[in-house]
Amino acid sequence: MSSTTTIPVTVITGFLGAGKTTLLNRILTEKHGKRVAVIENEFGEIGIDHQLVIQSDEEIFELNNGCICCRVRGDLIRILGKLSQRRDKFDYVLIETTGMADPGPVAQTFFTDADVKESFRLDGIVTVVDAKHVDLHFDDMREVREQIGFADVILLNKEDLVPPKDFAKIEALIRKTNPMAKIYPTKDAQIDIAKVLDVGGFDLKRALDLEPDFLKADEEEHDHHHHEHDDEHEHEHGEEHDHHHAEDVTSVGIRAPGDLDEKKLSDWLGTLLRTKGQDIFRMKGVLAVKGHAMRFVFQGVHMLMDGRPDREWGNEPRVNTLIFIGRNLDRAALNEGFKSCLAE
Amino acid sequence: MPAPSPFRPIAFVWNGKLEDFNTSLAWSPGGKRLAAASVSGQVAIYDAAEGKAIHLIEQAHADGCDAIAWRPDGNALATAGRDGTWKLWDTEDGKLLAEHEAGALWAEHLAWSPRPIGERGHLLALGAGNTLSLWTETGTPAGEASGEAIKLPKKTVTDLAWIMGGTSLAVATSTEIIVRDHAVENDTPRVFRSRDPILNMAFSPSGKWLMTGNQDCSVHVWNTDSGTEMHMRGFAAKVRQLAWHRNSRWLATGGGLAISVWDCSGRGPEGRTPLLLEWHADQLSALQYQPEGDWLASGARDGSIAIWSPTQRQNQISRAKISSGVTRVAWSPDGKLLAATGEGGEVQVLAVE
Repeated sequence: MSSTTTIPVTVITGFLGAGKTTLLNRILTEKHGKRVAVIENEFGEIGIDHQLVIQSDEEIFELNNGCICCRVRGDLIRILGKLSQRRDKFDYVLIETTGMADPGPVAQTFFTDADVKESFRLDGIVTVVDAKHVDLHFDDMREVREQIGFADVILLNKEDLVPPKDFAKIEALIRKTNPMAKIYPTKDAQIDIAKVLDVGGFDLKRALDLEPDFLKADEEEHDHHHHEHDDEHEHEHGEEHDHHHAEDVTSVGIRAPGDLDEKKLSDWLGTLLRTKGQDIFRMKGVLAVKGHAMRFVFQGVHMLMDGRPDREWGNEPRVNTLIFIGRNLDRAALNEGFKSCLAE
Repeated sequence: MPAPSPFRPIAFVWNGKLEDFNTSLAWSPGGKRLAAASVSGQVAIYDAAEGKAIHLIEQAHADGCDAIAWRPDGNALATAGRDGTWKLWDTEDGKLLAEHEAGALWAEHLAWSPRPIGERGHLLALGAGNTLSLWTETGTPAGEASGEAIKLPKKTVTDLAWIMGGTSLAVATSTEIIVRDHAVENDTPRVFRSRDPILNMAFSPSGKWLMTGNQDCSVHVWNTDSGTEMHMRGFAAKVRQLAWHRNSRWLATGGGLAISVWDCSGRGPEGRTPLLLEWHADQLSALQYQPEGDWLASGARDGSIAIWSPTQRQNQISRAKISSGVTRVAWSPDGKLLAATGEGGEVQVLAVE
């Protein structure tokens, strides 16, 4: 019989040369007590001897006439299926994708395939960004923007190779694209392993365990939010920007008090996912539904949504918080749609 | 007085044990030997009558053995595994006869042609990742020095089988099945394309029907004579088990708790209601018809094993259980013994009395 526990999986994405393999090797050499199985891409070169290293070929399975939301990774289904035969031999899985990989089908594999779901759970998507070259790739490479948009954790790697002023701009750009992710500046992908593994990026219990100010970037849309690098950096956003970046991948955050009408909410979300799910990479939220003492939490990838009541609001103000990250999101329509769900 | 059991008694003839999850199980062509292999890399060759392990190869393949296939003369066993190699073993003295790179880290599929193919003799087909290659009885590359390796770009071999008289090889990838007769020089392959990703395939012994189990829990059917296609949906799980009756009329499918037995006579199974064999309380994991009889053996992930005579009114013949989930069942060539393997390494040989 199958065991009831699932094995966590972390996906490491990032453009060629960003430092994915460096991070992978770091995780494998560090003493963290985990026995890690690695699925690396076909060009992967892990520098250390490791018992469970499997190469994958990024084969996309298209179900239901190739709808983008039904695209899964056949190679991962096959490899994870075989690995599940040896689940007593490892307790963590790392997947290193190629620089050109779309994280969508990788994530969807963990939510749609019954066999995969039975033994594994997606813990998080870690995107390694080359701080020195991202400025160049960000506009030309759709994949770079997608990988940033999908991430739970972003390593802004090679920070040592970038002047602080430029670094702050880059960080602002990334933060604007994905205000939900935790961003860590790193050198040689040096990071506390606890910050990249077991992050619970898709865990409803931790759905809103986000940066406390994760909405700032959105609310104060024209006033970038920075970490430690922003001291002397205060620039205006938009046309005066010295380099206007591609903005197809963006985020829309909504925070509003008030109770939502259950029926209206379900209709709105249903229609939204059906019609715009292709463009929504990630979404998360905590909602106050009229007549329910419990908070309703949800998270989703493309059209796949997972939601449930988590705990009582108690004394906390009933404030709805939602965030969408995706391509060509219509900010006005999302806000409008949300408002239409407020109970009379 | 309790009612007499409607089931025939089943004898536990002998058992063996490997270290870990059993991946492969095969009777030798004459039925004198039984071979089993596991993800620990062990390969065992048993004496079929007494269960004595004649050879136990501890590390046939590091990181696991995924496929085994008896050479048709019954004197050698091909094995393939997760170390990127395939090997040929002399099953009399246990010695390694040949060892070759398989073309990918995981070599998962092996099949010997049941008939010799011209002067090249019986050929071994090997599927590893996106590489298909052919080998001779002595383990040398067949034909060209490359071992006739055929790269299938971005398409991993998901299944392979020799069909229709034994010289045609069918190779499945996620998107298509390619059939080529290796007895015919430059044979133009026949290609069956699938809209749904293919997991496995089963040609009827007659060659008329081709079935695939698909990623979306459906079964696709081709009538290879007429070219017509049918699609069966509604399975509770992916249909990983496809078992043909020797007369090509009945096809048994898994995909959930129940076994469906489809009548493929005449124009085929479409529109017909299958016979449902319901007893297993956990997912089906193994199915096989007797090679020369009418009985169907099934195994499930809770270790339960059943023997059925699907078309009879009292269709369940016998029951048994092993201590971990069943991974494979295999009838001996004469149909008298049933072997079953388990997730915990069990090798159990049973006989219905």
